[in-house]
Amino acid sequence: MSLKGVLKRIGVSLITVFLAMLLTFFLLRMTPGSAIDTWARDFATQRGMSLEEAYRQITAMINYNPKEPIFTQLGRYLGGLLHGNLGMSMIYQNVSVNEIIANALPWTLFVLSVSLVISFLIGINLGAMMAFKRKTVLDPIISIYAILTSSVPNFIVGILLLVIFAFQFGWFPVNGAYDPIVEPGFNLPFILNVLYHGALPILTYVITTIGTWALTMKGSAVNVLGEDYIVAASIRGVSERTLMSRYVKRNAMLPLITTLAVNFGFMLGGSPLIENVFSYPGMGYYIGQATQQRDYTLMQGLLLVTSIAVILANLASDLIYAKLDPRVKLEEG
Amino acid sequence: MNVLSGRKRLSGLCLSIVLGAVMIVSGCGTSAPGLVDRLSAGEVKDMQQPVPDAQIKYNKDKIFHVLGGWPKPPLYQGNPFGSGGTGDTNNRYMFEGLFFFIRSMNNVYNRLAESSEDTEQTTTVHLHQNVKWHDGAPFTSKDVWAYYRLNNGAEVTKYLTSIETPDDYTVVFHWMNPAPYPELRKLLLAQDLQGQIPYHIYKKYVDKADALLKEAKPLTDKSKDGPFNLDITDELSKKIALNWNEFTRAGPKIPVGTGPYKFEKVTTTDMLLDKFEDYWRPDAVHFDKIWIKNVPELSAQYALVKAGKLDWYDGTPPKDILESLLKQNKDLVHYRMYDPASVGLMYNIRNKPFDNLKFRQALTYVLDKKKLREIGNFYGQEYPKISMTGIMPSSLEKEVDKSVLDQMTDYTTNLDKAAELLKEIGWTKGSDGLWRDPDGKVPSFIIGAPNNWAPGVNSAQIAAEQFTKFGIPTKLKAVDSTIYFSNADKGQYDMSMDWVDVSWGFQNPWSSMRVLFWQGTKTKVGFPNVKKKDADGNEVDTGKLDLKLKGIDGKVYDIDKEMKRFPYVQDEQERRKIIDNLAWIANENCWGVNFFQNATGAWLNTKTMSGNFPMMDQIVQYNRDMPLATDPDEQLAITHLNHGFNSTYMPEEYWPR
Repeated sequence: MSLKGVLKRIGVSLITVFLAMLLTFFLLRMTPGSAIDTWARDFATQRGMSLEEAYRQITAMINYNPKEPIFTQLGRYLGGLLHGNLGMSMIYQNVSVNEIIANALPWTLFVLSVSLVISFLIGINLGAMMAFKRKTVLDPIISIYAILTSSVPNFIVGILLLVIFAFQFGWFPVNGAYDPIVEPGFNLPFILNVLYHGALPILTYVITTIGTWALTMKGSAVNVLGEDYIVAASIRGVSERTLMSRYVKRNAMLPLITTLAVNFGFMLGGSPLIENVFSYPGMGYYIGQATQQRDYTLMQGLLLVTSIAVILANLASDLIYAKLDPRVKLEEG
Repeated sequence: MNVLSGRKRLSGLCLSIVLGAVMIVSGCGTSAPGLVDRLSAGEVKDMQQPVPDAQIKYNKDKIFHVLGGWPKPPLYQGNPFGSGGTGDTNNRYMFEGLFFFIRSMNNVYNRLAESSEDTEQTTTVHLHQNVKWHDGAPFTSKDVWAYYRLNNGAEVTKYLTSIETPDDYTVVFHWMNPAPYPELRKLLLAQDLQGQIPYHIYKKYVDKADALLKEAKPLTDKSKDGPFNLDITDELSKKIALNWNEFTRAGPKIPVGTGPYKFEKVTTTDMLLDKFEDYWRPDAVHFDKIWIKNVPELSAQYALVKAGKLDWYDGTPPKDILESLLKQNKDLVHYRMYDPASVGLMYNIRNKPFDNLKFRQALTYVLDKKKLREIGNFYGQEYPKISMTGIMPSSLEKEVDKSVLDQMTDYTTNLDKAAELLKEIGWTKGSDGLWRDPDGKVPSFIIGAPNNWAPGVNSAQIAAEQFTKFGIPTKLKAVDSTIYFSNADKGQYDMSMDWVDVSWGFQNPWSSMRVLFWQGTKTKVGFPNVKKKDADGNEVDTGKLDLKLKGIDGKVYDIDKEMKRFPYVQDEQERRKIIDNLAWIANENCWGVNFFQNATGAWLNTKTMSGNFPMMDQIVQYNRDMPLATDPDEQLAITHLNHGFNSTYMPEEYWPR
């Protein structure tokens, strides 16, 4: 893997981030409704004035003029971005977008990364077993499970888990990231409480993605099983266990590395649905709220971070894949 | 092979056990004796008494569990006027006003005010002297003065000339001349929670607002209004607004009020309020904490109610869900009451042919309100005879003279009458069953509705189907609520759905008439405004209603003038005449249709709470699904239950069990 290839990949990723940022900026401003409309209504009621007057006063008060040329707005936004400043929330003017993201992102990353690791590890092992034991009952059972769970939207599964395990049995909390009675910090009660609250959202993701990993791994493993070196190893007397773990799994897993990154982006984008079901304080909640209130700066910031995360994940998977498989070379020119 | 078949049998057995367990568990409900059993066993008296601490069994921590919403941290802040506020439910437990009124019944109770008396031009309020803010500072008359000097957009300031504070515990409100009639004064004051702006915290902004208001001159133009009868120029208005905006961003980090509960902690999903040990009425506080959960999903809310995790819950779900909740949790009791609002449709008179009265009346005759109510809210109540009167229908007979009601046009469903009216204005019905306008065109109309408002969307769909079946093609357009209201105000729909004949504030017919003629209904119907020319000769909309119509006596009335003079009319009979006239005008001009008056309700969890539950002697008869009360005392008790639980009022009537 040459340095030139790596730099080229990084360059392409940066351009993709820039284009994603531009697209987000323009698309948001094309959506109907505006932050001012809702705010003006509340302000008019609060201050006992007409809607037109409230609109005029709010435009004067906040740093957003809907009549300002769009490219001027873009220039200001880009200027702020270069300083790492995503701006202030238009609705909650005391709070910066950076601060909101800093609070929300760790929760989303925690749930997604734990879910992904668990479902990936279990999924690839199941998939490898399915490939080896294609004529047993395991194959159709997991296949049916995978089809069912990929057909049902993940937030429906979330609601079911909530109803059964939180409301019916009372085994898990109803919502939130931690109980108000624990003191947030690097202490055991808090950490255990966070894990306890994260159990159902994590289980939701795991249940709905494990089947897909297993099927994909099975497909890849079946292909590898047909390779000459596997037959040769088998003839040489390599044990079935060693064959599966060191020959089949490692080689079959390679295409799934790319899928891992894509899945991360997919899950990050779908997090609003799950986070709203469990009232989990991640990025998804703030995306929903910002969209409803037309808080452009907050929406831009959140979507930009999401886009960057997906693009970085893809970049990482390209680089890791090239490292893992010597047959793959990153293009140099 | 044998091993394989053995494994298959084992797998089958395991699967059967798991499936069986799931089926059993999903069918499980509570098996302990419920409310009906306890009442039948004679526990009535026990339930109506406070339970001694040693005998509390189901709520040992003495926590009152409810639902609420607030901006999630890090967005949470302590200024009730800041963006997002401090939360809805918790607001009422942390903040108080001089008076407190129960919505829908207009009962006004003293709260921070110990007593009050009126003269022709003043209302003097004497404060309780032992009231403290949550940070320990004393609550004084200066805080009331501060509230209105800074929050000079509050409605009552338009009727005041000044507020005096002769001593720390006396507030004198000086009214304009003429002053609003006495009952209205108290209602106006009771709208506000005057214990929200501690002077010692917001002094900087209060003093600035006071200084700015002192720059304004008294109003000379009687057609205008302004806070404290002051003429606020554009420039001064900007400065006042800027000061207000700075105030709303000033914090503090946690709310500071005078209420029985003070802020303890907040997360994204939970808020804890702790009993305020220095509360001025310690005997009124029976719960040690209020635990408020933020659960936006409706299905999750119902699950919490079913699981007995809430002590009180607001709202009446659809029939099948209501019955299911009562069946699955035998400790729940549900009470019903009318909402002071109706689900209705408004015609956009800016669009042809809705500017034609006979056309509007024709459409109104097409509607079958019973079907609209069954789909919109099964438990609501339709009033087939009226179109839209500006008055809550359940109060019509009380607020409008019978002779006037008898003279109102009866809009009960009548398809023949609808056809007759259309023909009178030149419409014709083709052989395809479709009506054509005088130009021969088949219309296609749109009813707009906010997509998150189920009663409105569902009943609008039925209305559209009824119009279409009659031969006037109509479609429903349910749009995101964040854009619906501005679209509807701009006249983008032929017909719009919203609450009509509504009075979310105090239960005074003038209050609901304001919504019709000055607020939400006005903008959706598209009543004309007075226009004037600016300095450049361009026409400017003043926002002032320009509507002059014939009243019941045949004389032409300026609606805006009638509305403006109402608060100052001291004679009750004369006020009733104004309302009679305006209601008659609204009904006859048929600007919209009242589909049905909404019914709402409240749930109580009798496992964790005891108290003097309303209609106690009928709970067994109705198996906890209580009908609308007919007895006035019961109606009052249930209204207290519903609207009071959103306040400091109700928890004092109930105790942990």
